[in-house]
Amino acid sequence: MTGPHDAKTDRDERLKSAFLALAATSADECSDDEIDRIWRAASGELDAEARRDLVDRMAASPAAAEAWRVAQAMRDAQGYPALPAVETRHSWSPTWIGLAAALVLTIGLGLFQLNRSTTQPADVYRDQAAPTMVESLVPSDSTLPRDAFLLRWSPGPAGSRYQLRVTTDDLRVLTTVADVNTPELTIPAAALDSVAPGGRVLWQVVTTLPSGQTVSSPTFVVRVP
Amino acid sequence: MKAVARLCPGWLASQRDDLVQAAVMRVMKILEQQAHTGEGDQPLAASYLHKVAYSALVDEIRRTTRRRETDLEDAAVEHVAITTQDPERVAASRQVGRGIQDCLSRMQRDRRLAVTLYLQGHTVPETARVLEWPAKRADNLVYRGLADLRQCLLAKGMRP
Repeated sequence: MTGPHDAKTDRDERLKSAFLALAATSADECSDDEIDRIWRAASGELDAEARRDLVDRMAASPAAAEAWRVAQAMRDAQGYPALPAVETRHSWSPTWIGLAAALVLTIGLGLFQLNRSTTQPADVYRDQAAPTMVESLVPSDSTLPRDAFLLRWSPGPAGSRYQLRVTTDDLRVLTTVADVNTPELTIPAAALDSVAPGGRVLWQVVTTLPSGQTVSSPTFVVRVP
Repeated sequence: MKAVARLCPGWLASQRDDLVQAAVMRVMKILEQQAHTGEGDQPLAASYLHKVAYSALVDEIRRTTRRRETDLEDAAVEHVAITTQDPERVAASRQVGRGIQDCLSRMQRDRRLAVTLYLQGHTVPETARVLEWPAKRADNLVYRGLADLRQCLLAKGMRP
């Protein structure tokens, strides 16, 4: 027997199928520039408004929608990190803001009168929520000894966890280490055995902030001797 | 170019060899150009190779689609013979697809963006990340947008 939830899911799946099938019969085309922009949008290289414009275009262009799906499928297959999540923000109407401000002011003044020694809330939460830029502390394209292949990066706020992905130039994964709690990691020499002398090693860090937000670093390059 | 084969999405498995071949040709061409300009010693960055493979895939898919359209015009009977789906269902799905496009074009922009990504197979958290909205807002807009879409399709006499 099919419940209401199953029926809704089936209906949604049919909507999705019909939308995706448009690409198979549509004659519209994407320009090279558009294809390039879609890749960059999926990579997080374009700002949010540019991404929204492209999504808007996808609603009308099955070819653009298809290019987006290809970009996503390829990025997923290659294990690229997801775009960072946005913190929850409340968009209140001016009326509500006014009422809230008045209420806060009234309560605040009352509390101030009652207890002047009330402890101020710590700023740590705001600091933790601030965007974090992950930077390599290893000079770009420098050569690291195989037996002391120490990768270091700028730390996130206290409590941050890191995931490190290390690959060769031809995208072969050398190692992936999750749940690292210090902003550095030594890659075992054995993991570098397959890299030829002078070969390039690419590495990237995904920082999970205490708030749960994730921040991806650019891809950094070092060499093995 | 093993990477290209690995990257090729599963839903294109039947054309994987052709697509990989096209991507290989594209990369070879770029390498040749680099050799001519004296930049041949520079290794290609992984991200660049991915992008090249992506462009080749998109091009090939569009080419395959165009080829199929031409085949359809030339030999509609043959197409019917090879299709595994009920032609009536295929036609109905196409009609609903066009209805969805029209309904999306009439929808309020933010709802349209949310529903478009939903129809593309994105989850609400993914939609929120792509559009840089809080998850709650993305969830609301998907919900309201889908309600608009169903209502619009019903008004067109479509009940997907």
